[in-house]
Amino acid sequence: MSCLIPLVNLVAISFSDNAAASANIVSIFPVNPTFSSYEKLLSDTQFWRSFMISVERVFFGLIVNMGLMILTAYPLSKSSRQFRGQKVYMNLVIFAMLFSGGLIPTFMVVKELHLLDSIWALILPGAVPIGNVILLMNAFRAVPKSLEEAATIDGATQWRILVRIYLPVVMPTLATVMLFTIVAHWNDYFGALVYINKASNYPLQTYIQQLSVEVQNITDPQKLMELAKVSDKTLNAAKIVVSTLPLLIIYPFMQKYFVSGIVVGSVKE
Amino acid sequence: MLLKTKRTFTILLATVLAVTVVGCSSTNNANNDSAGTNAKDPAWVEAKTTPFGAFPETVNYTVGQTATNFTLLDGSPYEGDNATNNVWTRYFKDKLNIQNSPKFEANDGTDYSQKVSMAIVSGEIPDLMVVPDYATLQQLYENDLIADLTDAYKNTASDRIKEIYDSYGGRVLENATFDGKLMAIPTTEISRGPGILWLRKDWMDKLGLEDPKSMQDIEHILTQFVEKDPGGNGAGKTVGLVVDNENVAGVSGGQYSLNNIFSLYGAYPKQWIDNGSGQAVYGSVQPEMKPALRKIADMYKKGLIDRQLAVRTGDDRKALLTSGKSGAFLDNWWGSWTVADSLKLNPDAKWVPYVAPQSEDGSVTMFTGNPSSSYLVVRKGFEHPELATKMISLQFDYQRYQEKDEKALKQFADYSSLTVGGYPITINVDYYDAFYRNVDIMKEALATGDPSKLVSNNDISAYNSYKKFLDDEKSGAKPDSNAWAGYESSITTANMVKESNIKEVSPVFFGSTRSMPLKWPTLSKMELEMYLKIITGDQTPDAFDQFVVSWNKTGGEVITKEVNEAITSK
Repeated sequence: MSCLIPLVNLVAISFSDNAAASANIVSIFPVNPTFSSYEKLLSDTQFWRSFMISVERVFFGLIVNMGLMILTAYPLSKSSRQFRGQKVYMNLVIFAMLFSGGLIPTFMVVKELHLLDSIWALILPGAVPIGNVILLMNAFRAVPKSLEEAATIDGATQWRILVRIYLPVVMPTLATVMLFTIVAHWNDYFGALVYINKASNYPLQTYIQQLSVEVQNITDPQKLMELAKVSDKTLNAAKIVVSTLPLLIIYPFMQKYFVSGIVVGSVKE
Repeated sequence: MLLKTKRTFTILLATVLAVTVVGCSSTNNANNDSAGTNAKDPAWVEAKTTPFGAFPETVNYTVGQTATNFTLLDGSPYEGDNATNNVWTRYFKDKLNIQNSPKFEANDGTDYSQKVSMAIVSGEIPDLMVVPDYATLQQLYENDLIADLTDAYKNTASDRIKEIYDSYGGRVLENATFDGKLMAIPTTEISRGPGILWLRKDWMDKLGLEDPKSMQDIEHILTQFVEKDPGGNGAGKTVGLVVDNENVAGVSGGQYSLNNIFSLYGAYPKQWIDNGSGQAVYGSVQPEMKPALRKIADMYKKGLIDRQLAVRTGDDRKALLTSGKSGAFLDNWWGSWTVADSLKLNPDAKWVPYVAPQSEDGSVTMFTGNPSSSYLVVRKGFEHPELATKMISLQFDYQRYQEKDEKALKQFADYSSLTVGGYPITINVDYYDAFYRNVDIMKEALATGDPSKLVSNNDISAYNSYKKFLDDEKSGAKPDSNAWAGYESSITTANMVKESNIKEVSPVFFGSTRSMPLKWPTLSKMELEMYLKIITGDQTPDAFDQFVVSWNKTGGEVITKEVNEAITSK
């Protein structure tokens, strides 16, 4: 339960008076409760713009990631007897997991593909998360061979086997991977810092990161004085609270898939 | 962790930058559409050779901009303004007929530096951008990527702009001059003034304490604060002087920094100073440090300095002051902004600035800061290099001193009261003594109620808010804490500094040398540990001698040599 305290504290700060928040006297109950942060938040157009950008990113990101992950994991789950060269591809995939091109080369590639400043710069460079692919691949492997054999005897093609048999059977893993993908896309702030050049096109987490990170490397007195004048702890807390809501809402819906797998009882041996 | 990744990232960028820059210097192809054909047209000639002449046709330029939070304007008449259409860009369009188009935008500080590095790496630097450090400027110059601004400065910088740069005695422009050519328009960092001691006057009055002058006075006041608990925090719960743990001292105008105590003993931590015989030495390893450290360690032992300083974050430090747990901190002249919130929580709180501790002759010694830390550069091949100086002249001379159009000025005032910037170029060009330069005129204006002698538009708009603050105070209305903070810093403290006996020590070197990127992080870490260990009593002040020895061995000696070479080769 104690892991909830920071979250409760954040909620309390978002409902508190700004002066109280900057005096650090808010614990788990709001001090001088006020809705002013949320009122301000409602009228913050950039916040909602960034919010929608994040939603869009999760939507397209999810489609691209899930599609590619399934299509990569399924063939890799086959034995090398069924899929010649499986070992080679597997090693390639693992190599790509362990060694990445590095930030600058990736940036240059994205730039040369003219993806900078578009939402695809946030989706395509990480379109195949290999950790998830391996997770999914192992789930496919755990499916009893007899299921596939039975389907083949009934005349099903590989496509049909994948869609009608394998995917429903690995639904719990699929749900897990889906959740990982959503969370990863929703929470990523760094990609946009690198690939997006217009502040108005930042997704939500980048927008929030910009507000809450301590500004470093500034020595100009005039700028420092400007910073000293800003005191927005409560508003920032409200933004963080609202930005975590969508994830909190998604969890219960995913919950039911975690309960049990369907593999149980599908074959008798 | 995050910080570490970012740092590694920056270093990585710097390395790649050096490699790639060479490769992309050829990609800068100038698109001379108007320059060639209209070179003789008198209207163009005038625009290109005078500070305020407008271009006959709109000149578009790309720029690397710091991000502005325009949503602060929501609900005001300026709602919907953005990076290319706001009070400042419209003003530039109107007066000079130029239009910006941001090539990238990022928050000021680390994020902006990253974007600059990215732009250089990808070989597409904007027509105008501010580079955030000297090393990058140097690389840009060495790879021939930026334009020579010598003529632009000569022809199109206004007289006042030149006067302002002259108020730094050449220190600033020299920084941006390579082989006799001015390659950038440097920002000017105005004097941060001496460290200011801020104390809770209401506590002092309660305990019948006198205004402090010497170190003994301060120690006495702190002892009384901690022992007598005038704030009612409960016995033993009042915290002493609030001190920063990452920069105990050594940052010019540093917040919660002990610069004044060190300088009382003639120590200037983290500064490259002249040792009197023309040699540059590093302040943190000089023998003067030891007595200063001994004094501070002693104060810590007695509880006069925050006992938990080592584990506090910036938020925690501010909270100690806002919540009334502590009533003392060393800051700079705008320290009132740090504690403005405490007035909201406790209307009786009264903070007062002091120029202290003073030495026996009543003076306070300060070291000056780096006069220029960032540089406005123009891409080589951009056909209007004079844009840089013209924009500076308009923004820091014309708009501030010569603009008389009430309507335009009101828009700027509205923007600044909503704390929205919006200018395409974030540098500042102002007199070295800007913060106390006009305080006498201002005081006179406030006393007589006649603002006609005020010279700058900023002063006139500030006058109105100070006037309102004073009126509120007189009529007994509760003054706004922000108005208080503004008045307290720009009038009370500025005036006090002007009337105090301040001695300045100017460090002789601010740049970087060959061995620094590799060795400096280790040395800085050693230094930081030394401060914390000695102050918190983990080691005795005698451990300082050991620190000096290992500092020199770990690369300090080499770097000192390099710094001296760099100075003599200039």
